Amino acid sequence: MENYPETLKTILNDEAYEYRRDSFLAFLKSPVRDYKESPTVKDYVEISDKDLEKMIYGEIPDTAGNIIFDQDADIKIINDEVTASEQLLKKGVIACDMITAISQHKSLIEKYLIPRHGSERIEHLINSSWRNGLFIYVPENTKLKIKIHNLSDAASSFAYKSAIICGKDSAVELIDIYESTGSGRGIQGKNVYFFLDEYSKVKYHYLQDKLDTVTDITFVKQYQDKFSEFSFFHINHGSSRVLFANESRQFGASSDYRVYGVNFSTGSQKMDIRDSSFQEGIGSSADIQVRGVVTGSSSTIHRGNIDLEEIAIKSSGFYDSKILLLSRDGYANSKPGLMIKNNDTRSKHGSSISNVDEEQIFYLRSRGIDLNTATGMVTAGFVGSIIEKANNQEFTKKVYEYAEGLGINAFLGTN
Amino acid sequence: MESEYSKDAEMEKLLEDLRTSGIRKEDWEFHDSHKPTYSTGIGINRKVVEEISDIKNEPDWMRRFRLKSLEIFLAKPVPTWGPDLSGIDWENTNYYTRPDEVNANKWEDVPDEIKDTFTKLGVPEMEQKYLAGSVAQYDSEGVYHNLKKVWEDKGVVFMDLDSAIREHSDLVKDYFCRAVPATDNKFAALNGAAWSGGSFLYVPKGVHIDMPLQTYFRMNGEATGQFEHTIVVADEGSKVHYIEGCTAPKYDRNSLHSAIVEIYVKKNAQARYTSVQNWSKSVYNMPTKRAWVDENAKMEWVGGSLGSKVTMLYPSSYLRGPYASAHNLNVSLAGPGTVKDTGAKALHLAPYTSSRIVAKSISIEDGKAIYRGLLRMNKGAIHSKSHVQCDALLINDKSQSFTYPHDEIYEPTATFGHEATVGRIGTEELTYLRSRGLSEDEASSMIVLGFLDDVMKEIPMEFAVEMNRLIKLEMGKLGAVG
Repeated sequence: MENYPETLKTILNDEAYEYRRDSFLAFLKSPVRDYKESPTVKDYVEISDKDLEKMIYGEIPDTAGNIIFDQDADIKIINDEVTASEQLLKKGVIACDMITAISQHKSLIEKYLIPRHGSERIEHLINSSWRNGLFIYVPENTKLKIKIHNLSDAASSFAYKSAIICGKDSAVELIDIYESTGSGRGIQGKNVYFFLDEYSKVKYHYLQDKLDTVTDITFVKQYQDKFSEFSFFHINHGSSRVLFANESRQFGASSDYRVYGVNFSTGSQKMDIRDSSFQEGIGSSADIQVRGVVTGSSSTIHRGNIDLEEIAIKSSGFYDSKILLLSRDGYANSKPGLMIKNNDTRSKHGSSISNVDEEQIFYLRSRGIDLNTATGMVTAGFVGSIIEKANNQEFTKKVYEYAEGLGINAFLGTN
Repeated sequence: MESEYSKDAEMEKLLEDLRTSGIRKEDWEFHDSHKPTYSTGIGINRKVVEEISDIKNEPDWMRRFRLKSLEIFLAKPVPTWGPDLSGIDWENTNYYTRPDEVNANKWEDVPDEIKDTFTKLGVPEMEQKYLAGSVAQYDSEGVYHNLKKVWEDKGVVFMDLDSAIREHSDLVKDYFCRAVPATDNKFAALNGAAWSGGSFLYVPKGVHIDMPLQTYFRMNGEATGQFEHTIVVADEGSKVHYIEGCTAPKYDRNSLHSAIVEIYVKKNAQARYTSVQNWSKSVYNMPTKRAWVDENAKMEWVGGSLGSKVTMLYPSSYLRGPYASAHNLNVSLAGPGTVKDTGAKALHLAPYTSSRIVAKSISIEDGKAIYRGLLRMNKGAIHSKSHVQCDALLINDKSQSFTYPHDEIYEPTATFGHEATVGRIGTEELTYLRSRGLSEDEASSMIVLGFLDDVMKEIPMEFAVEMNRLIKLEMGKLGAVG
């Protein structure tokens, strides 16, 4: 990685070069943790510098396997190539790839993207090395629904960056699905940034169901102006290693941030799911609820900080994590955090890790339901309370399928 | 019989004191004029460690242990994951200071100046009234130890650790640094190299001591270190309550307290460790406290962290036998300019173990209260249970609270829950109490003490009253609570 600045100059010498260079410097300056995350492991999801190198230099095969896009998708993305539908563009929306946006929508890029470099080490690296990405600008007072279907070759490795800007008073519902084609062990990183102008509303449905050989690294950030509302429903099901870090940047007064997340780790998957709020706006609120299900020899860690800054008076922040540990060989961890820097706030966090409730299983079995089905049903109920808030039938159906499919592999403490 | 002790009358007096806040900081932050008769000088190196060992005329194994610990201490970096420790002046701290060479078992034999110090702190009075035995340590050495005869006759051993090494060498050797090895962390290694004083308590099989035993630690010098090592062994089926109290005068230069407490709770035994720490605001308080809890044994940690500049304290319980249980209750008060980084650890290493951690913190002005904890359920700790609860109260608008729990569950039949809340004194609660005729100060005071009630009711009455008074004092002088 030492020669990477050369690469920045030669391969990625575009109009975002200054930004890329500053991001790379920020990456170099970011401290590398020198202590173990737990007595047994250094990192819950280990991503080596070699992996990162593979991601930033990029490896994209010529063919992308059998490509079948969702016909309803407004934006179709294969690896890092973006195609937006004509219908979407007719609505006055700007939807293009990032490279195009950098050259054709400079003022928007300078206003929203350039001042922000992220906060985490790998996030900085993706900001310096993205090959392409999705750029969406929704003008003021626009209401619309956009479905995005991302397909990537499992063998491809790349860094990807998206920006979605929602103008004042706009209301957007985004459905964003990430899946794989082909086979391989790609390292795929992405930063997805939302910029919510005042009074705008975003409902974001995210589903990651890539092949279980791929490593998926995702940073999602929301920069929220006053009275904006962001609702986020995320599901992580695929990939062998998942590092998913979602954090709000609520600088606007009375901004509202709600997160409902579900993740399933099976086989030998490792998932590090982070959902945090960073609140600087007066009267801002954050409510995060995450559910995880662990089977096989997989592992899941849920982390989440509620960070209420000194000026964020009259604000509230809540974090709730629950993990079902249905495996003898798997493990589950939680690291919720509160960072409260003024006293005129309300905040709370809670976390629990356990097997399914014996009484619930007993009840279902006494009604003639076999153990596997009963386990699937209880698991579906466990995640159902979260996913039904999304009010998205396609997602709800998928989650129930995932949940019910786990019953066969589950280990119950009751037997 | 006017002189006879009446528990009711005494309680009434204590409660009256509480009502009138009859306590002043000067009550424990005073300096006395006693000069140490011996000191190893500033800094720590091989020569200083050998000198401490020579003074104590220690066996060779202990000398080697100290030197090995010194190597570990020098090799380990200062931890950076917690509060800022740059104020510790490693070079200019005095690692061993000894008062007059005395270790009496009657207060009359203790030098007047030192005795006066402990009398001002109420130690002899407390011993007479509530305790089965007590040890008093002044700077680096124990100056007094006594155990009521009834317990001595039952085989109980309670004395400062130096005396115990001389008189019960084999017994001490069985437990010394087994639960907390010098390799554990930088401060444990420092203690291994420079330890002096502390207590050794051994409760034989089946003995139930129905009165608490206490050690009182007083650090008198400026820029000094106190590195006591305490070992409590509750043998099979026994029961004991051990209490520690600590104070120091306030100086401009920082002092360092880095103790080790090891508690061994054997099969079917019960141990309770209560600690009320009220170091002055020039003390870095970095103890390592750990209990090994065997089959069906019960360990209770009750703590009040009131003083010090920076405290990093995470009492841990290693639940080693089936049905072992641990209970941690802690109150932290982060006053102006101070950091309390406290918490607890529970490691479930056997089936059917249980733990409960309750941590309450209060931050005043720019005080920073941090909860940091580890809960770990190993594979095989079947049907184990744990619950962690941390509540924080922020008194002023600049007060801060942070919570960093760390939960690791490797056993699918285990059940674990954690919850934390941060808030301030609610307007509704205040309004309600004021509508019942209480002043704002009285109402605030009542809410704060109510917030701490879960922990206070577990502390012996005399200590709870004392802690209430200290908390009221700390908050009262800021106008927060009258």
